[in-house]
Amino acid sequence: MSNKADKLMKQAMREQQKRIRPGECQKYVRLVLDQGLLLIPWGQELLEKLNNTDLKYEIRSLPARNCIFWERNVGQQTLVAGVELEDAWHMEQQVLLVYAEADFQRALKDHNLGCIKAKLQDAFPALNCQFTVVVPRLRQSKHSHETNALIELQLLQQLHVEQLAQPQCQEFILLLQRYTKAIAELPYKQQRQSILGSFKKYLANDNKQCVRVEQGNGYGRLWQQHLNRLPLVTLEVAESIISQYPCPKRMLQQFADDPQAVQTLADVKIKRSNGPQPLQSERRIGNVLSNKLYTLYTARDPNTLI
Amino acid sequence: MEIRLEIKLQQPNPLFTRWLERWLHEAEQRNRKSQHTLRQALQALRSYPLPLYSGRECAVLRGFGATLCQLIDDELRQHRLLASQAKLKMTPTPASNSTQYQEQVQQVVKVVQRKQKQQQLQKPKKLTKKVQQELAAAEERERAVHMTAGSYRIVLLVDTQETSGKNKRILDQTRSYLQTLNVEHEVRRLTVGDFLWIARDAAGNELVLPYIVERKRMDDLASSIRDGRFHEQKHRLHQCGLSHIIYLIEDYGDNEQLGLPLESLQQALINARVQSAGIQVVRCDNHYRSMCYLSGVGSALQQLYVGASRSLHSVDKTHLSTTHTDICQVGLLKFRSLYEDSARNAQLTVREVFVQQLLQLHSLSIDRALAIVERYATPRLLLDAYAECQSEAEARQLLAGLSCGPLQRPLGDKLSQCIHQFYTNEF
Repeated sequence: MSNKADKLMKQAMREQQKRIRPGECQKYVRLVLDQGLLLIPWGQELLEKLNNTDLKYEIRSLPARNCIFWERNVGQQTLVAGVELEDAWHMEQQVLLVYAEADFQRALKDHNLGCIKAKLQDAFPALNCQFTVVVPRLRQSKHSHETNALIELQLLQQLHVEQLAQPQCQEFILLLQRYTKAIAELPYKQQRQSILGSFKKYLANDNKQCVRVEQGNGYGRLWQQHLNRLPLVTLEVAESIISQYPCPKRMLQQFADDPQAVQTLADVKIKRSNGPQPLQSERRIGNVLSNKLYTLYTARDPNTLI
Repeated sequence: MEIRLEIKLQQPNPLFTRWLERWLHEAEQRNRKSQHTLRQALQALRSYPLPLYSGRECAVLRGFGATLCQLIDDELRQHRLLASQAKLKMTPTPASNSTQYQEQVQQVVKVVQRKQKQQQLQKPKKLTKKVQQELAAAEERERAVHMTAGSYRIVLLVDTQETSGKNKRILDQTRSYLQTLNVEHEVRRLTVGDFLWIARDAAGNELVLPYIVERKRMDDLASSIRDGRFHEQKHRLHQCGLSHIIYLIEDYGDNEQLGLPLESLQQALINARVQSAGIQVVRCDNHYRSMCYLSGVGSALQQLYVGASRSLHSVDKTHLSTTHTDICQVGLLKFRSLYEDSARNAQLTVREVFVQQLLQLHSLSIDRALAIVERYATPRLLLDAYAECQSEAEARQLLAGLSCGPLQRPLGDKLSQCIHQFYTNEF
């Protein structure tokens, strides 16, 4: 029986992976617009332009005026009115609040911007909702009332601000497209982030020089790349180590058998450094690097610092 | 350690001194004219530090004329005669003086050496400047810092490398704009970010406010995306512990000729906004307006912390709360902790290096590397497992069945064999 359960589980996982893949994922996401948006000066134009894009949308009456959010089809279904099965749509965390020019100017004058966050949180009480206020672009001048108001929105109320250049409707459509793409790809990115985020160092950049190993060739180069992962190892240092220990097995054997192994390794001379130089002390591998290599290949606790 | 010893004989020329004293005494008694020169000569001899071995050598001294030197030599000859006749080695003679002198010098040296050893054991070693600095730093790390409302100032820190196109001119421009805007700032080397705000009290303690700014001109943004630095920087900004990350994006003229299509950059910025918690993106027209923005943020922070009478205390990175609550006591990182923790070459763990090493193999993806490390967290543990296998075939297949990634795909025979060969074969 568990075999069948396994199979179903695997199938469900594959389905899920397909849905979140960049390129596919946008098909499963739609916009939800507040009907109040139809009444703003460029509301009708907005609708026309939306229809020309690939974006899917719905218009509803939302708990807060002039808001927009996104929903995702996760592949589940719900029973509606006890009769029909419908696709279940889950709300995403991003919510936009759109200000038309006149409304925004009025809000600035009346100093009404201070309570935006509270209003939005009342309307959309889901945890971790991220709110963005979309306003017409201001003339940026030093310390004007408007710029300060926007800064306060960002810092004091934790709201993001997007400024729309002219023509506002066109710019807004572009904005919606970008947001939709970003939101659609969010689960995929989060999956990657949960892997990479647990490491302090960013690991995804390193594989530009990875080594192909075919029929026993390439191990030497792989060993050199392994040694290069340590910050102190330069090309000359790596080559000197390899001349002494051409494979990891030799080095590991030395560490296991010889109590003086660390000292022996530290004393290995670096070859081909630019001739005799005043800084004679750098011609050996050195105690620091030798200890690091020893720690790397003998430690059993993964959190040991190198 | 070498010490120079200055050895002064108490009486370098006891014999000659004695003779001169005798002659002086005689001359004084008979009131001879010679007493004056004798007195001078005696004084000179007494102040002369080196041993003299003959009358003729005395000629260098004041008051020793030819006659006096001759007198001394005659006396010396007689003295030697007497000494050899009497075979008395006890009386100090100039001849033996030299060897005795050497022996005495050696004795003194030995005494001094002994004394020195004793002293070293008793007196504590004086610390070098470097050691003193290390101790001071360690003490600062341990110290718990508290700043009550009103006891601190908020200062903007500007990274020394805050340049665009590796040009010092940009830093100078930044500074001059900030000065024009009357922003209290300081230029310092930062290990992460371009701008930070710290709260500094009178004692010099520094706590970092949870806001960090990364300034990028649009052309910088394009080049950093192309060579992969953009994601690495984002990662480091997330890791540093400051919860509010602000990307300050500055237009570059008309934003054309950037190296990447403008739409890609716009999407990258929106992605950063949407997909990473805690990142805000702010757009500015030019350098001056960016500095105006920083000035505005500085004023807002002034209001938020000083104006609201918040008191601050130092916390560990693990105890930082990411929520921005309106509490009166705010826990913040120390500047030194942030600086040391975020440095690019801060220490790595064995696990991290092991993962990086595994990734060097072609077709070994991060999912697979993580699956291996999940099971065998260090190279040593993997080798132990290989050693415990009953047969070589078993060892070769040890990793083949590990499930990797969200789809739980198996690692595969080929990779498992490859890794086994790498660690256990000679080549």
